[in-house]
Amino acid sequence: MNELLRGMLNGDTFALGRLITMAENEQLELGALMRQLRHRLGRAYLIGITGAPGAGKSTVTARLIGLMVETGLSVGVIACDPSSPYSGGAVLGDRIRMSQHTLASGVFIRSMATRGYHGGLSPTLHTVASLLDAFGKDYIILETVGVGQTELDIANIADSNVLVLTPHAGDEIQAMKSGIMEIADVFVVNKMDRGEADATVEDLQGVLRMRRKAGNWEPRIVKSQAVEGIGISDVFAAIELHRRFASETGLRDRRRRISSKEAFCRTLDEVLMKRIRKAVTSSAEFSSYVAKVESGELDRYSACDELLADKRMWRAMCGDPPAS
Amino acid sequence: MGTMAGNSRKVRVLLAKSDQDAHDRGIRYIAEVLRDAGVEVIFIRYRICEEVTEIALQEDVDVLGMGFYSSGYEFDIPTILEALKAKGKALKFMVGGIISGDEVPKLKAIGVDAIFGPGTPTEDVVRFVAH
Ligand SMILES: Nc1nc2c(ncn2[C@@H]2O[C@H](COP(=O)(O)OP(=O)(O)OP(=O)(O)O)[C@@H](O)[C@H]2O)c(=O)[nH]1
Ligand SMILES: [Mg+2]
Repeated sequence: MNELLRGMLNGDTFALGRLITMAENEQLELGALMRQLRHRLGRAYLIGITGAPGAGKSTVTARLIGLMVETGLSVGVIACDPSSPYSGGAVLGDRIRMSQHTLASGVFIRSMATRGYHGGLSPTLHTVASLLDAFGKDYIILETVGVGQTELDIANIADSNVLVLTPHAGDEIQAMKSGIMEIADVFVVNKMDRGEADATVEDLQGVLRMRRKAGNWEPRIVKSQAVEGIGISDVFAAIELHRRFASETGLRDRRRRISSKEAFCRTLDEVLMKRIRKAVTSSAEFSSYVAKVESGELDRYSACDELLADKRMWRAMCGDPPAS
Repeated sequence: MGTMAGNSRKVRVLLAKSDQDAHDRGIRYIAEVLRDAGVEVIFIRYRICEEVTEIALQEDVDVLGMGFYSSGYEFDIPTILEALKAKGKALKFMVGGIISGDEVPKLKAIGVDAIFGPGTPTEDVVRFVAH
C-alpha cells in the first residue's frame, strides 16, 4: 500500500486507480489508509449531481468538467451507476458522455457501481472521494442516479448539491415537495430544447417560495441544454454562489460535520453487522436453530430470541474485551 | 483487525470500440451479457489509442475487450498493449469482431489472450472474463 500511496501522491493515475479498487474491495486496511491521507484532506470541493435516469447528469457533468479545465482547475469525477440486484454486475455508462475529457490534464474519472447497498450508496464512496481529495483535485463531482436513498446519501457527502430535472417534470416536482427539495442547492432544468422549461421553472419557484426561510440558502434554478453547453456556465456560477454562501455562513462546516458523523455511523453499522453475523452464523447453536426453523419446530422470531438469549452466543458475539 | 473483510470483489471490464466503427450492437450486447454474469462493465468509444490506455488505468480494469469490424486493429492493438506494458498495468486482453485468420497467431504472439470471432458463444466470453 505504501508504494501505491507514494505513487499516487506523486500524481500517478495508475496508483490512484489501484488504490480505489483496493478500497472498494476492502483489500487494504482502510484505517491505515485514512491515517496516511489525513493531513491531505479537506481541500477539494465536492459537488453532488443527481436526478432521474436520463435527465442529463453525465452530459452536464461533462460540460462542467470542460469549464473547470478551461479555468485550469483539476477535477475528479465519481460516476455511480446501480448494480443489478440479480447478478451484482453493472453497466457503467456515464463515462462515455465524458469521453472528450479523457486526456485533458487534471481530469480523473472513475465509474463505480453501487454494489448492493439497498439502493443507497456504498460507504466506500466517501473513501474514494478522500483519495481524489488527497490526490489534489480542486473539484470532485459525484454523479448518482436519484432513486430512493442515493440522493439522500449523496447530499450528506457533497458540499453543493445539484438536481438535474427535465421539462415535463411537473408531477415529479409535486411529488418532491418533501425530501429532495430540501437537499438541492441548485436546480438545473436541462433539455430546455425539449419542452416547456419555463413552466417547469415556475413550478419549482412556486414550491421553493413556500419553503423560503430568512437566512437560509435560496436555491437557484438554471435552465440548460447540456449537449450544446448552453446554460452550463450559469450552473457553475450558481454552484460557486452557493459555495461562497456556505463558507461564509458556516453551512459548509456544518455539513461536513454531519457528513463525517453519518459516515462514521454507517461504517460502525457495517463493522458491527459483519462481526456479529459472523460470530453468530459460525456457531453450533446457530446451526441447531436453523434446523429447528427448517423443520417448523420453531418460528423464526422465537428462534432469534432464544438464540440471542443464549449465554454462549453472547460471548461469541462480544468476545473478550480488548486488552488495554 | 479493523475493517478488512475483502468480501465484495468484482471483475471490472473495459469494452472499447473505435469511433470509426459504426457498428456497436455486438459489443453492447456483450456488455449486457457480462453484467448479467456479475461483471462490472465500462463501455467507451475512442478516437485515439491513448484514451483506451488512460481509461484502463483510471478504471483499473481486470480485462480489456476491444471490438473491430473494420481495419485499424493492426495498429491499435500493439499500440495499446505496449502503452499498458510501459505503465506496468497487467490485464487480460480480448479482441472480438472480424479478424482475418492469418492475423490470429500474430496477435496472440504480441499478447492478446483471446480472440472471439463472430458467432462465438457468449458463454466463452463470460468464462474468459470471469475466471
Ligand atoms: N435534447 C437534449 N438531449 C439531451 C440534453 N442533455 C442530455 N441529453 C441527452 O439525453 C440522454 C441522456 O443523457 P445523460 O447525460 O446520459 O443522462 P444521465 O442523467 O447521466 O443518464 P443516466 O446516468 O443513465 O441516469 C443522452 O442521449 C443525451 O445526449 C439536452 O439538453 N437536450
Ligand atoms: Mg449518467
